[in-house]
Amino acid sequence: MNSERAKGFRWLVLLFVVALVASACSSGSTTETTSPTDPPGGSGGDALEGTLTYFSLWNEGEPQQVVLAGIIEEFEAANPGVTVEVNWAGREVLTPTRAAISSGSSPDIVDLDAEPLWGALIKDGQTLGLGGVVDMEIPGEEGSTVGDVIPAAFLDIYARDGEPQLIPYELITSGIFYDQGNLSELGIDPPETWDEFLAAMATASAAGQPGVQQDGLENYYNAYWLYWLMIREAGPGAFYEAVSDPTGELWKSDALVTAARDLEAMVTSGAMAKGYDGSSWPLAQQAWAAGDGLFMINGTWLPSETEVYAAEGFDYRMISFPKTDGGFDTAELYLIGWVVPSGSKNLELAEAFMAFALEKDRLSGIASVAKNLTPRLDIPVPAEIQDAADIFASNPEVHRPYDGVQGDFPEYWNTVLLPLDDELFFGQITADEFIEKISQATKDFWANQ
Amino acid sequence: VTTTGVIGRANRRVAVLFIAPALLVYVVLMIIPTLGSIWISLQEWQGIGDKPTWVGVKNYTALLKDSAFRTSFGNTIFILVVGGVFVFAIALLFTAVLRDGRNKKLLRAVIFFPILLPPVAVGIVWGVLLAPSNGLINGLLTAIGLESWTVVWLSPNLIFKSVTSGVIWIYVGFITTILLAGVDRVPRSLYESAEMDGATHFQQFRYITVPLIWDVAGVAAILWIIVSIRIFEFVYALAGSGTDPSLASWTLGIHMYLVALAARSPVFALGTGSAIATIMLILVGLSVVIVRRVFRRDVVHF
Repeated sequence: MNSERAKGFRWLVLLFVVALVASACSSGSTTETTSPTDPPGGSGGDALEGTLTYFSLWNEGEPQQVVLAGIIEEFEAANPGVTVEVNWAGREVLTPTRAAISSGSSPDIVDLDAEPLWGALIKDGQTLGLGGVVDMEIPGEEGSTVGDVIPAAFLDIYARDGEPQLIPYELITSGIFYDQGNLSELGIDPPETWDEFLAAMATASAAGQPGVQQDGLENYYNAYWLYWLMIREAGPGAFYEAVSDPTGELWKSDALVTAARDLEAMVTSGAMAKGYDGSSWPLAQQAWAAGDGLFMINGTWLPSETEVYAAEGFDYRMISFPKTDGGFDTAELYLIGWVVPSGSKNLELAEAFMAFALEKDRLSGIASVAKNLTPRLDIPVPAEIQDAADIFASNPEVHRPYDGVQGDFPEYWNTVLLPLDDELFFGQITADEFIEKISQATKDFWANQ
Repeated sequence: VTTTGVIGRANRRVAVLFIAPALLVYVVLMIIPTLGSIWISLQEWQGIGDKPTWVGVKNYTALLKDSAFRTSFGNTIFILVVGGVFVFAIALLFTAVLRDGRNKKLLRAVIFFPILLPPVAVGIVWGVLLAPSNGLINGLLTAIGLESWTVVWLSPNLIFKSVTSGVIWIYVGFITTILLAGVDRVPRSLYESAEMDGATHFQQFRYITVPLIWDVAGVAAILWIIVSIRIFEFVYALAGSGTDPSLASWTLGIHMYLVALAARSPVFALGTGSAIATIMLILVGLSVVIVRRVFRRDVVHF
């Protein structure tokens, strides 16, 4: 009797295991048959059909998310055969993206800042070329193509083998912000050169306010100063080359040493905000917007981030980073845009969406609602960032944010550049010590690869 | 074959059947991924677009030469040892005070509270408390005329000590609660007897409480080892304040995250990340062995 029960029980267990395996297999095959990345059926005709999977850097509720969600809704209404499945994944959108790609269910569109997209997907050949989008007519703007409304420099900067890989929909740049009212009260003109900038800081300091406010715990913001000084003193590419040099010797070039000394002069001037080395974001930028401090270096998102804290009548103005004797005067081109991972089977749909979204009225939400620049220079921008828009109006020569170092050498950026830059920026080491240390650290870094 | 033997074998079979599902889940979700992670630590691999390439122990030797790893390893040991000494010293003090006394349930709930809060929220609040000019701590010091005592709590020289203080604040209540659970098991008659013999409160704590909660303290120490070595969210939120933290505040968990996963500047060095994870595992294992030796003694029955 007992052994019969035991046998019965064994059969039950066996049955259970078989059922488990069978259900696992069947659920796998179900997933396969309903995979959103399958090519849309019957896409050969004029009408678009299928499911477009979109992974976004925005969180639900952010202004850009609201604008993009509206565009997606319009796109679906205009193409009844198309469904867009969006994952509002937030800033770390690359995590689900890479997981989806490695499991064979790649999204069709991913949007993010261009530098991490370049480092994580584009440069290693993990994206599909978007040259086709450039020649596409924009729905609603007959006779006008994407290439007609987006400057070529914005499409070419992240090209691979000569073909654009990223289509931008938001344009950012960094510069030095101030309140015009504060500047006028101090009797200062907007500084154009580095010497004028240091003099303006000293004037503010003498009047009892910090010359520069800075959230020192944001090491990316700290690095703006040295990177911009290297751009101005040595030109685009010099910082990148110094980082790439396995001997570390290029760090000792005169122009880069001068840039480090320029920075040392600023942080030892006594005009930095007290305790800037221990300020946690966003406390310093809030203090600055409330009127405590003259200058703040930041991206063009600063007005929208700080407007709720801004003192009454705060008049946002921005200058391009001051010129130095080096004489290099290029503009930083920081793009947010779309890429199509190479695992996508819906390139045609993705391209159609991009061309659709770049229509002037649709894209203008990025300026009017999200208060940012767009790569379409014919879209009016809010007054707070008009100075930034003016920088691009003259079609300047452009360079990548942080000279491309963050995107191409992320490990070096995290473990060598940012820690040593903080030491210099917080006045813990001199410029000459910085050059010695980073030269040696660069050599060690490459020897350890 | 004896009856006992038959029953014993049957019992073993039943036991195996009961254990099997849990064991299966454990093997599939813990053992295999752990072995997989160790295997990845011996490869060079970005996860997509490339195949794992066998590099042997290169990821480990590269880490040993890497100053960033030395910093994150040192910081983790700092939290483990220095943080641990403070956590247990304060928790023992609380245990002595809260053993009995009025409102002990309320006080226990209050000190346990920090562990219930989301670590990210606590990290952000600590950032505001420790702000250099308008933070609560420096503000209070200034308000009571001690402006000369104000310091930049999150400056490079102090930031990790401030972070460790935050970690201590979060976990003291947790460890105290575990120790108090041990204290609650101690028969009151022992204290009453000691009191009649004239033992002071400290002597009661030293000669009754501590020996009788020794086993519980050992368990608490092992829990502390695990949480302190893998600590991540609070440090990330306090020291990062919106972006990746500076190297001065990296722990092993943060280092692993930044090199293996999607940080703001993603590296996707899965081999290096897995090597750090393996080192964390070894560190936990070694620390547990040491703590078990320290706390080893015959079980006291009471």
